[in-house]
Amino acid sequence: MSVPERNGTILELSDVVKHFGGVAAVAGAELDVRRGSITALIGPNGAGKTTLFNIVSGFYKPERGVISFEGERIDRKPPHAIAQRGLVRTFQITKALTKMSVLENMMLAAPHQPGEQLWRLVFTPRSARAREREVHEKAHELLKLVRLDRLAGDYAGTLSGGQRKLLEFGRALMRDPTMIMLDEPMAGVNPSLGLELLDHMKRLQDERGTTFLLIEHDMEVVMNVSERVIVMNEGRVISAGPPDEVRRDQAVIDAYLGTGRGAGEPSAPAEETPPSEGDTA
Amino acid sequence: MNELLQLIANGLVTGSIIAIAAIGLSLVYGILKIVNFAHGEYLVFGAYMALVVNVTWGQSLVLGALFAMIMTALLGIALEFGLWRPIRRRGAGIVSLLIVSIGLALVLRNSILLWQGGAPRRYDVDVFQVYELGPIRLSLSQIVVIVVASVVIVGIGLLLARTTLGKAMRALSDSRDLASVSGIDTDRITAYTWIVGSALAGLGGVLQGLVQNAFEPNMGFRLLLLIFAAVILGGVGSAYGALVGGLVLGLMMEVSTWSALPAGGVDSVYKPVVAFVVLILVLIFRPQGIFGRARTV
Amino acid sequence: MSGLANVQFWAFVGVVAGIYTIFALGLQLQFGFTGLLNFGHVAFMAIGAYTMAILVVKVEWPLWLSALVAIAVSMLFGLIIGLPTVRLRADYLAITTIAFGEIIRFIAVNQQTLTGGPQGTINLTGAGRASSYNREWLDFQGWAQDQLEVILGDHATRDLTMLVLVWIVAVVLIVLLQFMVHSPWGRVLRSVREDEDATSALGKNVFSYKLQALAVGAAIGAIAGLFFAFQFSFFSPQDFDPLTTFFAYVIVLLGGTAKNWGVPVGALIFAFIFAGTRFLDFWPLSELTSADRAFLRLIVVGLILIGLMAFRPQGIFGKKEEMVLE
Ligand SMILES: Nc1ncnc2c1ncn2[C@@H]1O[C@H](COP(=O)(O)OP(=O)(O)OP(=O)(O)O)[C@@H](O)[C@H]1O
Ligand SMILES: [Mg+2]
Repeated sequence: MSVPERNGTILELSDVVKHFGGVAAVAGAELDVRRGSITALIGPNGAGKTTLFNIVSGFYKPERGVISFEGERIDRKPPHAIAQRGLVRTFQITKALTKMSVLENMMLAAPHQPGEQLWRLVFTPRSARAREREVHEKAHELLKLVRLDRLAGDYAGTLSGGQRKLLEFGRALMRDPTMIMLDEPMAGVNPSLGLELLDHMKRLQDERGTTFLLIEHDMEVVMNVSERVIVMNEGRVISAGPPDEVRRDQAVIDAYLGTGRGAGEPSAPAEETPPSEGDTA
Repeated sequence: MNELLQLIANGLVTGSIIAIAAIGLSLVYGILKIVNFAHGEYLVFGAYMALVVNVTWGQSLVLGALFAMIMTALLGIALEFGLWRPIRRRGAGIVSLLIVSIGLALVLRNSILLWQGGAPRRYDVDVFQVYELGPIRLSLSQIVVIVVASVVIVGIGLLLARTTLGKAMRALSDSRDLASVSGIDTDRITAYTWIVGSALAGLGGVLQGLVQNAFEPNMGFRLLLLIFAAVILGGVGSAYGALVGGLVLGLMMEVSTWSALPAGGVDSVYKPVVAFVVLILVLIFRPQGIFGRARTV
Repeated sequence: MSGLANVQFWAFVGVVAGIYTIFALGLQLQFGFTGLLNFGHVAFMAIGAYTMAILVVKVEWPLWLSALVAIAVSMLFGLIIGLPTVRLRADYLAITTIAFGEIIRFIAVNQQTLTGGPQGTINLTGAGRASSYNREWLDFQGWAQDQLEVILGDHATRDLTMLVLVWIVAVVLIVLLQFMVHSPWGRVLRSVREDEDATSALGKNVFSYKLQALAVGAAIGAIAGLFFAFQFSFFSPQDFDPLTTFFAYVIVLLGGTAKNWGVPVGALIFAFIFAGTRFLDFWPLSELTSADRAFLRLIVVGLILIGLMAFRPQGIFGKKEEMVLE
């Protein structure tokens, strides 16, 4: 498989607005994500990051603005249609299907299962069964990756908080997406496993050109893994660029030092700034 | 034109009974998230309580109505403590509570059937007297309903607007969590809500029994969906909304049969269907009710 | 008559249980597996029964064609009512569907020329001329009875034949549904019940699956309606009041939500409460008239519903652990 083109923009947002009551959760956000990149989306609590994910993935309708994915507008599309286009997201507050097994959670996510259509289930049961075998195998592989293989048969509702994060991650990968939006995927996951997952992301990026956009509060992770960092505050994108540049940006420092709503952010880059030369390469 | 006036008068009669019955249902729906399918049986219970006083004991129907209100309030509060509260404490969700209410409806209705039988009953009052007010003809019972309903509606309006209890009830049905944070004793207000709502349901049952002349224990279930329609029209949880919703619904049902309407109006046997269709349309297009504000949360 | 030993009587109870099994299976798919709080399920039974009867009597179509069309019409109604409503919250869906069911029943009562009105299908062809829509069915049943006689000899009565036929269909449907809910298709339904957002985030069209569940359930409800019509030669709108839907809930909840094999067990218990308790003759029951007993039975049914929700929401076969998962 040839490595897909790495240049150009895969996701582009312009002037996206969303209010809740009087609160402008997203207030004219502009950003773009490069194809095949690992991009971090950071910002203080309440900056509007999750809301932005909800808008891009089709769960909220933006009041204004244009969102295009792979050159096509997706801002009026329902969530399932966006996921089917290859743009998959995970949830900050995990949504495990608690009364289904861990394995079923994974298998459900798989795309192109003809057995999900009633008429094909009836008329071409064999292709459904064949696909089911592939899906089963893939689910097991990914469960091994996220270290949940031994729990495959358990109800997802019995998983711990961190394990649910891992399940979310694994489920998203089951879809073989072009781009994944991860909402704090490492929260509550033990650090060494977290590093392995980051390695896996890099591998997918290299081998398949998968694009990642991840919300992350741990600055070490952000600085290590991402090529580009986008910073939000109070519903707007206030800075974007390579990690080193962004951390020196005065607007970012101000945002984290907290005149705004994100006061007291524990792992803010502000702790590492003002510009001390490179603990990160 | 006279026909229209007559229909409006009839609509006010039907509407005010629905309105009175809808308040309790709406408050309980809003505050406790109980979609109470047994609410119609509360009406029936009230109607039969008044029957006992009026027919069995030979007392006046006014006394009967008061007795009905007290007994239905007691029923409401007893069920809150004996049934709803324990089940809520077990963490039952809205669907479980709804199914429980259906079980309760079956128990109440059939207990009354077991006790009083299924034959139609009537109060011992003369309701055949008809009065002509200009072009409108109203029976005595209809006039009684309109008068009683006006008094009750104004009274309830004042209770909700002026008294601490009323304000607390409205606050609670807006947001239970917020109300409990702001120091309102939610358990106590919940109990009062049941008392007020059930007493009104009991009264509604007596009035309905009176205007429809003869009644039997299935009366409640037949009214239930109309009451739901009023609650939803006015916005779930809003007591004022329920009042207005009831009146609007009553008027809509009657006026829909007006012969000057296209195709001669709706055949009067389909009046309830008008209400059901309104119910479905409101839920689809404006689930917050026609008067409610849209909520984002 | 010694009732307990009366085979005919128990065959009748079994037939009723079989029809209710089929009816409740449709609800099991909609409510138990997909989480759709459909309170108008009885309308699908009514549409199935009435469409078939009307087509046979008035249009004079053959029975089997009419039956198939009846199922299709019921599915169509499922789609029509589902299209605007399945997106609604559970409680709103419950209220809209019960209203839908009542609209159907009102039409059956009031469109006399179409349905025979309040007296039911006995009036289908107009007053004075009893109309038979199940002649072909009786022929078929006679044929089936002949086959059964080969095995059972004299025991193969009309009721017993019906019993066998209903339960064959019921079991076939259970097996079919069991296959369907454990297929990838059913996996999506179960996931819709668990969490709609998670399901759509994984690329499944929640709306479409809800509609499919509603329509397939409507078809199954219509099949129950067909058997209802075959069994009770005449029926009327009264047979399809909301109480019948509530009975299906009792059955589903007794057997356990999302447990296909729980349905026949729930239905048998239910049919026993309903018909079988006629033999409980000891004091104080012996004091009661048959009408009073009917009321008492419904009180028991109500108490069962309350008790199940309070103490055993998982039903008889459900797993307790599933109830506490969050
Ligand atoms: N469904 C909602 N209803 C009302 N307000 C909301 C809703 N979702 C988000 N908000 C508000 O919008 C703002 C942005 O919230 P959002 O969840 O997007 O922040 P975030 O950047 O993801 O924060 P965190 O880092 O803490 O996850 C907050 O002020 C929040 O209170
Ligand atoms: Mg967030």
